[in-house]
Amino acid sequence: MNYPVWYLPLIGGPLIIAFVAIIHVVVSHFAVGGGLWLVLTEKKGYRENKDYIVDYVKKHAKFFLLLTMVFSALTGVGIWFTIALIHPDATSHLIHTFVFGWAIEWVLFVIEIVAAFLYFYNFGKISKKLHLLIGWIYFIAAWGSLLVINAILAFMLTPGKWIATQNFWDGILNPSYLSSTAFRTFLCFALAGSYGLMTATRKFKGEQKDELVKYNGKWIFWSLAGLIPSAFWYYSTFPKQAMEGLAGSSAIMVSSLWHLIISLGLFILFLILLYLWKTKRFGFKSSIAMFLTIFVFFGAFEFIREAGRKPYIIKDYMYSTGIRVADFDRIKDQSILQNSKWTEIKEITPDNAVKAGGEIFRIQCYACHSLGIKNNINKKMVDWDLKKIRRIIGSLKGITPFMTEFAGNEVEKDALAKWFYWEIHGELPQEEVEQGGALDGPALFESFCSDCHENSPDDPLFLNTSDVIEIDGMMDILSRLNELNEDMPPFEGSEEEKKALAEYIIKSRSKK
Amino acid sequence: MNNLINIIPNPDALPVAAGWFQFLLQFTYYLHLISVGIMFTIAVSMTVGYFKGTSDENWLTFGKDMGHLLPFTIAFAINLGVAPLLFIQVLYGNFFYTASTLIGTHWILLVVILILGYYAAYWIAFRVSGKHRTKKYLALFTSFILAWTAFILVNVNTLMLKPSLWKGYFSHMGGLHLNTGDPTMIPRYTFYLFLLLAIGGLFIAVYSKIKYGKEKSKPWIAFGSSLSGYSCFLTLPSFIYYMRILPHNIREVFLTGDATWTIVSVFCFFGLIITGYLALQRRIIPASAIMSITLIIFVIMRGKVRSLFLAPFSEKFSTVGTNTQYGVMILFLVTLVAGLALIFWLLWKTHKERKS
Ligand code: HEC
Ligand code: HEC
Repeated sequence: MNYPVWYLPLIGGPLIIAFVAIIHVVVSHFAVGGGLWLVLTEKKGYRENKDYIVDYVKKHAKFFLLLTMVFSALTGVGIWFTIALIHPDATSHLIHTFVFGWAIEWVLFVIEIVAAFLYFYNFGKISKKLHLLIGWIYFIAAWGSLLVINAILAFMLTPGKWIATQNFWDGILNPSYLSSTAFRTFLCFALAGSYGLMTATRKFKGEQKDELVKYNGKWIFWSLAGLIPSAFWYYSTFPKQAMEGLAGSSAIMVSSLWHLIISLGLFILFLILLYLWKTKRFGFKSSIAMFLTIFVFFGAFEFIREAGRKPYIIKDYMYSTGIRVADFDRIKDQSILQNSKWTEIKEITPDNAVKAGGEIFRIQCYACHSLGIKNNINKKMVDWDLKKIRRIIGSLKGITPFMTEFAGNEVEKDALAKWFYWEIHGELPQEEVEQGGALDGPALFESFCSDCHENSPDDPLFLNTSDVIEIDGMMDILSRLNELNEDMPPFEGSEEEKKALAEYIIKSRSKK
Repeated sequence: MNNLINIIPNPDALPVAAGWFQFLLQFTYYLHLISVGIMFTIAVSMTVGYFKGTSDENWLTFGKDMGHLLPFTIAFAINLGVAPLLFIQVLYGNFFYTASTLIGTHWILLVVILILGYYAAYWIAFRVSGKHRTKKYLALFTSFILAWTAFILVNVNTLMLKPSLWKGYFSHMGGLHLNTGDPTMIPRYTFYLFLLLAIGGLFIAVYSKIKYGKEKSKPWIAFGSSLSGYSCFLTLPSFIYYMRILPHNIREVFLTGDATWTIVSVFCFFGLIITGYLALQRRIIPASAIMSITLIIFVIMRGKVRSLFLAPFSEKFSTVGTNTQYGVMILFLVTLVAGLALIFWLLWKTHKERKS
């Protein structure tokens, strides 16, 4: 809206964010869980007087040092760069609201780094007590930064009272804050345990391996004992629309949910195997596979969280396109081009319509769609004629509640439709060519209704018209579609087509 | 001008008065600048050490030593960069994001490149069995990456000052828009490269003095302080050239137009000369003291240049809103002080225990 868009249409913003974010969240959660793992395991080593355990911890510490220092810090800056490039309006808003939250996180991060260095370089060089204390400080600082940053992530999904008060603490202590914090914390522990398992199976043999595999198994067991209930708790604090998405209204969310469930199931299965096999046969390969399942679980979860927020970037406050909810209706009535700073064309003429359409795509659709790998809409539109493209643009919200209506005027909808058509076919259609003749019921249904309705008896299209048995009655309904539901486009076919479709609907219903 | 105002994104409101953020921005930037100077010079010295070390055992030892320091200094330089990055977004986010979008692809690649650079540094330092030849070239690679990072940052920081150059967006939206068309960019960059070496050279001299003992430290003190001294003098041509090509009204302020700012720019200029002189005299402690003060003046001056460049667009500056957060700011300041206290306590305690 306000900002230029970093425009790489073949890749698309969401994919870039997903790529950087997934690396960052896994690594940073890992660093938190690893903090606790290090101190507790070190303590175990001292308590039981086992040098090989202390040694094992030391090796881990080196890895964590490398990991938190580099990956966590750099990808953390990276994710920040990325969202600022792809959602500058929202990032600016978040920064201005939570700047001191981030500033506190930064202090914690400085502590984390210093503590990590001291911890690693002073194994055996200072008293055990002080060394453990440094370990604890590392863990607490790392977990503290999770407390801060997760507040902001949770805020984006459930801003709660903040919408009305705009108060910092209302934003931080939002409805899903505690539940998501619990969930993420246990996830951190599960990750740390799974990593410990990998190194234990790789580095040790015989009894020592047995012991450490069991030890890490116990870690994972207790993490899961916290993770599963907190997942349900977290779910209960989801916004309603996200719950509906998971229940079936969003194909992407449902498929992510399956990934989530299956990967968790496999993870648990591995844990059971670990005990059944009495750890003997549980080797490095099994532990890698186990680690991968928790990784997939994590990815699926983040996907659900991101998808559940759509069409908002900050729920109920700002859309993914950077348009504030409060401005939406005004822009829709006026013009998207005139209300966006970074468009070349402000006034559409027949000559510049296609180009203007491209600009509209960039500011209205590119936030979620690309022309390439991910969520490519051109592919879906290949068989559509201009009229159909135009009709769908007029009723985006009807396709899925995860899109808003088009935020612009009628001329702009035309321009966008033309641009899509031109992108796909390289030319505009010859005007006034009527494709007559096709009075075929299924084809009409396919062309006019199937984007939002399924051809099955439990779809509202059939359910809610079950009392209409006359063709005339059905034709009347077809004439009033946009009155029945504001997200539905009016029927645009000819009278004959209307009749044919009405007949088809009644006939196919009675068959079913 | 009017037209330009229209493409500048609208600002969001600040949670506390702008002055606080100015202070935090400049203060944390000062720390970042010093840490980057140290990091960059260590990387360069490591590279020199490894190259000369092919035939000279002493240089090799020195190069290795620098190599051991490098990963830490990278970690701290990045870490201390996060804070000013945060505060500049609060004050000038609408300018900064726009500039970073124009240069988006380079900008995002910095992350990738820095990860590579860090790993290279780490590998050089900790892979004992690594080949000398590989290390030599990796060291060069790391130095190059750090210099490139500075280059991109200078690009963003100059581009954000010139909305008149932003129109280039419409001819290319994929974020490859380096600010090479801006005459102030290159002198600013070369100035920085030498300034960083001037800062870090002194660090190396002081470090060597502490670390190597009286006799052994001599060549390295000489190396560090000469590097710093010459670099100080080498900043001056860029400094003068930069001043010359500044827009008339901005240059005026620093050259006689405004008494205070004239004094500031004179202090900055002579601060560099004096530091350079003292460094070449091997008087590294006074040189470091003068350098520290000169850098404070430099940072303030740099801030002033920025606000003068942006002055025509001041209606687009973020100002404090109705919903203030002074309480939260105090919480942050308390956390900061407590955090620093904790860090110093930890360092002191560890140091004490290691000794005994
Ligand atoms: C807030 C994110 C978002 C924005 C912005 C957005 N969409 Fe969508 N769009 C979606 C989602 C999510 C889907 C559903 C994908 C799925 O479930 O398979 C979708 C699906 C579609 C489909 C349906 C494809 C099909 O399966 O038939 C079309 C067409 C479409 N979008 C067009 C547009 C156009 C045109 C714009 C710009 C005016 C736009 N979208 C903007 C999120 C968005
Ligand atoms: C752009 C999406 C879209 C298209 C295209 C569309 N509809 Fe709908 N339709 C909806 C939505 C959304 C609802 C509300 C669904 C619900 O209540 O769950 C709906 C509901 C209905 C209903 C039930 C209305 C009621 O009273 O509850 C009927 C009947 C219906 N559609 C018929 C049609 C027919 C016939 C077509 C094809 C000519 C069609 N729709 C095309 C989006 C669409």
